[in-house]
Amino acid sequence: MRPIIGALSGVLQYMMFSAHPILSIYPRSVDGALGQGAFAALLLVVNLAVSTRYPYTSAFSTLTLYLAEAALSSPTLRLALPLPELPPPDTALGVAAVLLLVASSAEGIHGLYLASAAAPAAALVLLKDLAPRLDYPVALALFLLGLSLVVYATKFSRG
Amino acid sequence: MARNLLAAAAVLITAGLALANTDLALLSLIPLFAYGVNAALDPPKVSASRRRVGSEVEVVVEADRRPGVLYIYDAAPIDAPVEAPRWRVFKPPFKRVVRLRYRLTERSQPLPLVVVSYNAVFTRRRIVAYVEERRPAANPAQRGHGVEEFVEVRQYQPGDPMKLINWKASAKTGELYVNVRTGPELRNAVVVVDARRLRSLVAAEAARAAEILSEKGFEVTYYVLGHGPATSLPGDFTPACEGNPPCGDVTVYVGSLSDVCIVMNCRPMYYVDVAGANALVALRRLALYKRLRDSGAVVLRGAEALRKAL
Repeated sequence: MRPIIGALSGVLQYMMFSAHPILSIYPRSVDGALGQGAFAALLLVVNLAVSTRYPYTSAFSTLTLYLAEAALSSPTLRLALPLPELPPPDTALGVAAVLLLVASSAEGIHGLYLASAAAPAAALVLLKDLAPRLDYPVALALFLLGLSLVVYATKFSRG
Repeated sequence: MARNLLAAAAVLITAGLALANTDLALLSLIPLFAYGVNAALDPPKVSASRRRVGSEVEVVVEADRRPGVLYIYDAAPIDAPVEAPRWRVFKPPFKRVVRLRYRLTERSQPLPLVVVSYNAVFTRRRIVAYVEERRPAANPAQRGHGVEEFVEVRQYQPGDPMKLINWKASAKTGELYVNVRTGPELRNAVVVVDARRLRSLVAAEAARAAEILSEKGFEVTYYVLGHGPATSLPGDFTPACEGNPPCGDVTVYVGSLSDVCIVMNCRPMYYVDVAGANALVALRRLALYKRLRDSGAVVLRGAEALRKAL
């Protein structure tokens, strides 16, 4: 399971790097210097190496990259910094990164089970984009659903 | 593991709020959903059995359909020289049987098998299961010098001294029987001390309890949580969260000991709650006391109460 998490992290990171208007400079320059596919291979090797010992770290670095892209495209940040206007990262990539993080939070098939348990919420987050007019009501409903689940769970928790 | 899920959700919510990005905040629902759904689930109900297959032991754990994490281990005494094997197995949903095999170690008799099941995010725990096997009543009692009186005969159990076998009764029935005698038995008591809070008060009460036990004829030793076995209470120590049992609340120790004692039929346990002298604290701990009593422990509010209880 660990190599799979590492490989998926590498793939997701490459997709995020290559699709971004600014961050794509890294794959372009590395590929230009070392040959086509060098950057992808580098990401793959690094992620595989990290994930054999720390799969959560590998998955979390993928999410961090997604957060960085979201921050770069944020209008809030543009108020403080002279950043160009950038498109937000693809939500599907964010969903994949979070699912990967959930899968890596436990060992082996246990992580896979947790990721599958989270799949309905991931599907809802993706479906939300298909109905933009329902954005806020759906967001509110999902938030309340999540909150009530956590309250319910912690009420019966033994710590 | 649950902490990882909640940390991921917290990071996403914080980032979403800080960057005014709804999509980012909504992503936090994914780990929250995985946590919430599983936290609400009960752990799987389990039953266990164990059998010898050649030079190996096969453990079979049967469970219901619910997913969960099973901890399977031999309940070795805390002062065992070798730590007993211990496994952690995730049981996926709908899988009903979990099998384990391990090489048989040289022991005169098998230890009780304990299976603890948790739900997938460790918020709920189900009490352990044991192998249905004949167990010795306790470690063979060491006897002191003095006059012994015959009381009765009972069936031979592994560990009983050969000299106690009643050959006449054994010849009549075809099964081994031993004589049960009363006499100046050397009685041992272990004072388990959780001195990580209210240290001086706990140490004083533990010393008092040991004194009372000595007066009653017990050989007293200490087991200090986070420190280990001791013949006397250590004056100063830093609890280390290692060892067996691991650094935990003393109630965990009492709970696990009582689990074993159901099988091993060992002597009663007394839980002296030093902080329980405070009525408000005692009120808050009523549920804990009930759990301890259910485990077979006698709950006391001070070491002096031990004198009466004994």
